[in-house]
Amino acid sequence: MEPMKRGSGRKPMSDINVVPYIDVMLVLLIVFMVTAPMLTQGIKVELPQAVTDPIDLKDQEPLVVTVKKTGEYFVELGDARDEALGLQAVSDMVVTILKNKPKTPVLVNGDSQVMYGSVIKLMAALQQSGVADVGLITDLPQ
Amino acid sequence: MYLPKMMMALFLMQVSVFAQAQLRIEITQGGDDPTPIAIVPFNWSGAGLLKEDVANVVAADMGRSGQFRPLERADMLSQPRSSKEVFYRDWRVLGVDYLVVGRIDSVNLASVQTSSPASYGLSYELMDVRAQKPIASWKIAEVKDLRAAAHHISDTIYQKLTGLRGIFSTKLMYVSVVQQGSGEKVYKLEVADADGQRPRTLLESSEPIMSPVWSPDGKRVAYVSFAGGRPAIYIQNRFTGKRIKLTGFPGINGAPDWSPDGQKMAMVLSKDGNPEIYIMDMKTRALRRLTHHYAIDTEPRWTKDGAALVFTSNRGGSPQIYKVDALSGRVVRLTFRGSYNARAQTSPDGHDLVMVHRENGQFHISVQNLQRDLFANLTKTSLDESPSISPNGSMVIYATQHKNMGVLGAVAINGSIKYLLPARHGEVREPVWSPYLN
Amino acid sequence: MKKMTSNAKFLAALVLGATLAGCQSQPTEEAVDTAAAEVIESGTHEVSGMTDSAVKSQEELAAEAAQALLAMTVFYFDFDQAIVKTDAYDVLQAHATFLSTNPAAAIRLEGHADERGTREYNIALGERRAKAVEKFLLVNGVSADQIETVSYGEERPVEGGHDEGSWAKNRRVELVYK
Repeated sequence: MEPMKRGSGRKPMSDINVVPYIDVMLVLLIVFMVTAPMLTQGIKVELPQAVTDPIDLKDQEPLVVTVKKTGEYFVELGDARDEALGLQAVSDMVVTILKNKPKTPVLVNGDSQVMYGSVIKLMAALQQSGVADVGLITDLPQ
Repeated sequence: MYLPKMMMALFLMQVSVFAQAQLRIEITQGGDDPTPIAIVPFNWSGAGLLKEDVANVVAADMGRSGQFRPLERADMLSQPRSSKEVFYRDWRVLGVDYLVVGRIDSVNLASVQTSSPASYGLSYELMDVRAQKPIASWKIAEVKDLRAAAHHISDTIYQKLTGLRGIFSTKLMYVSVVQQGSGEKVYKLEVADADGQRPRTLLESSEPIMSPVWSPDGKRVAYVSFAGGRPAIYIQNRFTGKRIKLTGFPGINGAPDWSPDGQKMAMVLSKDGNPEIYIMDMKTRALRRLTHHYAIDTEPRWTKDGAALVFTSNRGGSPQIYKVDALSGRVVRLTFRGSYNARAQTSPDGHDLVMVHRENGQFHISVQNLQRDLFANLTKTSLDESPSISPNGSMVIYATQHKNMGVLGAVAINGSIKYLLPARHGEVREPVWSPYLN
Repeated sequence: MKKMTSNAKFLAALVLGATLAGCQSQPTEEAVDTAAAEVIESGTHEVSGMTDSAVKSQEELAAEAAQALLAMTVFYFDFDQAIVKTDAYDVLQAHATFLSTNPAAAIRLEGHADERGTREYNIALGERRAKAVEKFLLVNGVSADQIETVSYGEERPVEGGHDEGSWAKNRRVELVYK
C-alpha cells in the first residue's frame, strides 16, 4: 500500500518485475536438464567424420559383420562362414570373441541398398552383446 | 545322534576300501600374462567313444603350467581336423597365438583272446596363428595309454614353445592319511600323474609313513616307515613292490635322499646320540658321518651336481639352512633371514634355494636366489611345508592346509600361477615331484 | 581315550610288576585291556577292605600319593624347546623312584611335536624331548636298559586343531609302561 501512495496517482508502471519470469525459466531449465537424458533413444553410433578420417583400429583385427541387400547377416568366421546367420548367432559369436579379446573393434559392412531396419536391428544386437562402438564401413566415393 | 555317526563311519569305511587319494585341481591364481593357445578336439577316425579326451588333457596341462591360457572348447568358432582345414582368422579374432590340431587312428582293436588293450596312432600339428603357418608336426606310431600320450603331447608342445622341457609326463608321490570310522588312521604312499590323476598305492600302513623320495631314475622310492613302532628307512621298487629295509638303527632313521648319480643315500641317524647327517654307499652299505655337531642336523638334500648337500641345523640357535661339502664336510650357512628356515632344496640350475620360511608366525614356502640377494615368499598361507621342485625347475609342489584339511599346492617358482590338488578323501602331505621318467 | 589306555597299561604294570613288565614282547591291545580291568576290580576290593580298618597307615597314604603321580604320563613342552618343565619334576621323580625300585619294569618315551615347522625337524625335536625326559630319569637312578625312546615328530597329534590350544597339547612326551 505504501508504494501506491508514493506513486502519486495515475502515472503508468514503466518497469516489469522480471523476477517471476526468471523463476519460471529456471524451473523449466531444470525440468529439461532432468528429462533430456531420458529422452535419448535408439543406438548411439559414432559415424566416421569423413572419408578422409578413417577409424583407427590400433592394429586390432576387426570383426566385420556384413549385411547383404537381402538383409541377411554374414560373419565369415567359423564353420558356417559361407552361410547367412540369424541375429542370435551373430550375437553369440560377438560375445565369444569379446570374451577372449575384449577390445575387438566391430565393423558393419552394410550394402548401400540394404534396408535401414536390418542395420538398426544388427546394431542393437551388437550393443546388447557388449560392443561399445560400432564402426560402419563406407566406400570411397567414386 | 548315534545313527548318523555310525552311517558316516560306515560310509567312510566303504569309501576307503576302494578310494585312493584322488586329487583334483583348483586353480587359485592365474598365470602372469599367459600365452593364449587353442587345442582343438582331436579327430577320432575309429568307431565308438574314446576313453580319454586327449585335447582336453593337453589343454589342462598347458593351463596348469601358468604360461599358457587354453581357449575354452565352447568358444572355438571352428574345429579343423588338420592344418589344411585351418582358417587362421577364426583363431586370430579370438586372440589365440598358437593352435594345435590332431587326429587319432585305431592301430589295433582290443582283443579279448590275447587280453591286449586297443592301441592307437596319433598325429598332431602346432601352428603359429599370427604367422599363419604350421610350426611343427609329430606322430606317435602306436600307443595304448591315451592319457600318457596326451601328457607326452603336452610335453612336446610346451618344449617347442618355451624351450623348456615339459613336466606333464612326470609323477607326484605323496603320503595320504585317511581316518577310518574306528578312528584308526590308514597311511598310504601313493604315486599319481602330475595332474593328480590315476593314483596308485605303493604302500599301506597303520603306522606313519614319512619323507618319501625318488631314486634319480624314478624306478625306486625310499621312505621312512614306523611299522613295528620304530622308524626305519626302506627302499622299494615302484613296479615290483619289492622292498628292503635299509636302516633300522636305534633312534632316528630319517630324511633319506638319493645322490644324483644314485650311488649314495644321504640320511639322518641319531644312533650316536644326536641327529647327524650320514652318507651310505648303496653298494657296500658303508656309512660315513658327514656332520659333527651337538645341535639338530637334519633334512639333507643333494645339490644337483652331487658335490654338496643343503641341510637344516639349529646350531646357530634357530633352524637355518647350511650347506655341507660331501667330501670335506666343510659347512657354510646359507640363510640369514628370519628365525626359522628348514627343509631346503636347490633348483636344478643351482641358482635358487626353496625352503620353508617362518614370517610373523606363519610358515610359507620361500625362494632365495643364491647368486644375488633376492628373497621371495611363494605362498601366503600359514602352514605350508614339504616343498619339492619339479625337474625342469619351473614349479614347486608343497603341502598346505585348506578348509582344515591337508592338501597339496603347486606354485610357479616365479610365483605366477598357483593351484591346489585337494584329495577327494582324507588328507595328503609330503609331495615329491618325480624326476623325468622317460 | 589314549590317556586311559596309557593309565590302564601303567596300572597293569604296577600291580603285575615284574611278571608283565619282564615280558619283552609288546602285549596286544586286547590283552592289556583285560588285564587292566581285572586289576581295577581287585583294587576296589582292596580299598573297601581298607575302609574297614578305618585308619590308613602313613605308608599307605604315601603309596597312594605316589600312585596318583605315577598316573600322570604326559609331559608338555614349549615351541621349538626340549626342556622339561619344572612342574613335571615331581611326577618324573615318582616314575624314577618306581622304575629304580622295580628294575624289571621298562618304559618307552614317545616324543612328539606340534604341526608347525617341517616334519623331519620335528622328528629331531620330538627325539630331543624324549631324551630330555630320559636324562631326567637316568639322573634319578633309572637304568638305561629300562628306557626306550622314539620320536613320532608331528605324525601323531592328539589334537587335530590348528591353534595354540591344540599345539600345546601336541608338544609332548608320552611315558608308556611296556
